[in-house]
Amino acid sequence: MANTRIVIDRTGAVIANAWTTLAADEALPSAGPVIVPLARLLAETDGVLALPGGVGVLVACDEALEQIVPLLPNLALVAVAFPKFRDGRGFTQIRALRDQFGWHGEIRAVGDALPDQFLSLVRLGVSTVELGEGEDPESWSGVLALRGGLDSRPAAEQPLPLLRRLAAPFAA
Amino acid sequence: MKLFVVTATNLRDGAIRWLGAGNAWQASFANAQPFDAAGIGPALAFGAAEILAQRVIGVYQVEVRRTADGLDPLSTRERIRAFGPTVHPAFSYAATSRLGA
Amino acid sequence: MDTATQIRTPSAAAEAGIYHYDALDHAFITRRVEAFREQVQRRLSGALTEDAFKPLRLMNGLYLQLHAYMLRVAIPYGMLSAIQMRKLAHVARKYDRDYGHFTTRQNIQFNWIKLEQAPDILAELAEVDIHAIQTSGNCIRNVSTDQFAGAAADELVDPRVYAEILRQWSTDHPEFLFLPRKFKIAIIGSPQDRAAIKLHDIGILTQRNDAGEPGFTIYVGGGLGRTPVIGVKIRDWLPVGDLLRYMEAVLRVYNAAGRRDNIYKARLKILVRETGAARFAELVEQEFANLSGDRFHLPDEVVSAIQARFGSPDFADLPQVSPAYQKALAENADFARWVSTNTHPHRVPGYISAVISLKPIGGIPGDASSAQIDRIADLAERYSFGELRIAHEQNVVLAHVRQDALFALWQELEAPGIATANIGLITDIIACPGLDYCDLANARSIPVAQSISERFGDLARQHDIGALHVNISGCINACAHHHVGHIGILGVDKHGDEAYQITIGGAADENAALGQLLGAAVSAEQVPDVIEGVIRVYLALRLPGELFIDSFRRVGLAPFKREFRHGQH
Repeated sequence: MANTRIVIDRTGAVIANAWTTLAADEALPSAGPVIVPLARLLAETDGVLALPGGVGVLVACDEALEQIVPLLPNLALVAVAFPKFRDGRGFTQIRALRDQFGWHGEIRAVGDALPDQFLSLVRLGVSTVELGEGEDPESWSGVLALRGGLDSRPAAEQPLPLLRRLAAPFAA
Repeated sequence: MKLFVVTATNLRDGAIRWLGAGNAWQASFANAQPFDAAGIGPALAFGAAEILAQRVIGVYQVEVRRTADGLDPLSTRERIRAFGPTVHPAFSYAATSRLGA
Repeated sequence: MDTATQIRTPSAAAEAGIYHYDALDHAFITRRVEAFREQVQRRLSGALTEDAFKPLRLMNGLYLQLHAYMLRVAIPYGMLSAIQMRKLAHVARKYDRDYGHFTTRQNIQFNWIKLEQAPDILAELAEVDIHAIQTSGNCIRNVSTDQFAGAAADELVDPRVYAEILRQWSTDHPEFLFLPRKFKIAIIGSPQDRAAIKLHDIGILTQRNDAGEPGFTIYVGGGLGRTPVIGVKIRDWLPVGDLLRYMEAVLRVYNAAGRRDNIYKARLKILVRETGAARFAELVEQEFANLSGDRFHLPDEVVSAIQARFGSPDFADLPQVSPAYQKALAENADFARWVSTNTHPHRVPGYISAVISLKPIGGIPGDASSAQIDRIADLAERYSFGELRIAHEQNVVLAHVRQDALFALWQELEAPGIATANIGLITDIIACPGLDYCDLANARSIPVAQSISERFGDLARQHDIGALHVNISGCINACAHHHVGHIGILGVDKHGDEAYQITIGGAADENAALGQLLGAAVSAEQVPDVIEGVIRVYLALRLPGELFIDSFRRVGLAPFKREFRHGQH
């Protein structure tokens, strides 16, 4: 199924998006790039990983990342789902991927995240965001312009107080 | 027969409003239009449209009864909302409207 | 030092023991205000729905209450300078109805705010480094502490630097702004717990080890509301360097595993109870071990640097005992009575902490007019190095008063109506706004507080009764901490009428305990009589010098229950 949603990068710029997301009951395509729900990836690992063109996984916010950690080297993208903007579990998953599991591939936030959550997503290490139906990318980039001025100096050089050092984004 | 009025809060300034005659929002509970069970539906629908128009938020119905002096909300909460905080009589609608607040 | 990090506070407030912002700290809150202004514009235009706007306005302290929008301004760990206090008075005058309400979490609330003015209000507050960030919403709220922090004679470690570190760590923390529910942290540095740490999601007791190094004991899962729980200890000793890493670990376990299916089961206390304290502690330690590298390590030099940003009063070299002060005590019985309740011993010889009561007899607990707020700021400037603290009991503390100036200070309290000698007594009532103001309430609380205050207004009588903490909540959310009042009063809805359940024997300090129910709910009119009955029993059976709470612990609920039942017939 073609993906008609707009995708933006960490700066809020719209990027080309070749990824499609496999529906729960859909058969595997012959090639990627395709994002596969976690349960399907675990159930049909060999088949999924054999697909040419790139494979990603869609993780629900209540699914344990540990299940896919051994497979991360074979994945080009992890999509972290935000079923409702109020549910902040996706933030912990993004951070865990970057910090605890040290993964540097593309992390894509999908679902119901709000433009006003963009700064948090970027600071935690998200790479791209798939916008909701009909959402305007400018409302996202606008938030960064207003709230950004992310201190771009590396963490080690940042002056006190503490706030700036801790504000350094996780390396994406 | 149950009677209701429709209330809301102004989006911009948080002031309480009551739906009066002719679908006009009134500042005073005294000017609220009573509706019966048949009439409350369309009144609430008007309120819902007013939310979409970014004029009000929090539209809902309040059950009232008729007294010698006019309408009176049934619940303590709605009476306090209609007539002002009991510990600050100076902040009731009647008092503050005299001040032009 | 580059200009960004130079402290920018005007010299008049330099001594006040608040954390002094630099240009970057200040830029952070002004940018935040402009972002909020833009969010408000998008809301007014309809580009943002109320559903999407609500978490954003809550994280900037703006509630929708029964009568109007309410703004809850943060007073970080209760500390203010006189300059900041005056700005609060200004906001009350210009944007509200000339008064403010000091809360049970050391914040201030303005009840009659207009949404369209909220960005301007925040901009004005930002001029003096005040904000309303994260005073609401499902995020980490204002870290609270002891109102005598940095001054108390029994203090082992001044907790304020750590409270400030926790504030900076938690502000706009990208991972923890959409928690299952609100999150409250309290920290103290003395053996006597004046901040109720065991009733917070995380409670931190700062101590010293045998080597004299500071460190922390950690309690988790405390809280009141529908399910009152006293926090459990999960870490005996946490070195200072590991503080933030441990906080991250607790918050991460909560964010990932806290319940999101039911808002009444979403607090950390439910997760701790359902997981089991020992298992929860294990999960935290695992998460702690998983945290990589030095990102969250808290080096001593950072602590020192932040400590250096706190103003420091230039204490005079005074004798331990002040003859002028002793003379005033001996000669003026009213002054002596006020001192006996409204002061607290200071660690510096010749100094003393003074508590200004915002509980006038028959008044609204915690309310202060803009004139009173200005006057208190003025007194802070002249008597306490321009520094103020807001106690969670809803009173104001001037922490560093010279003993030989205390009499003069006391004399100035009478005219503005803030001289009531009732701190810790039966009329020093902690009350939430209740149904008069709060959208969540079932019953009014303020009129009940007023009626009790009037009934027991006689000062001689109050002093004879002694320490007696009365807490009144208008609903089960327990914002006035009624479960841990010596006498706790909970407003309920009884078939559409307001009714009040009374508990006794609660305690909020290091011997935290939940109150026990006296009997069936009574009407507002009956409450003062019921309290009279409780006092009657206490006075009849107390041992010489025995406080109410100690009598209760000695004799138990039964005699009080008997009196209550007797009074109901």
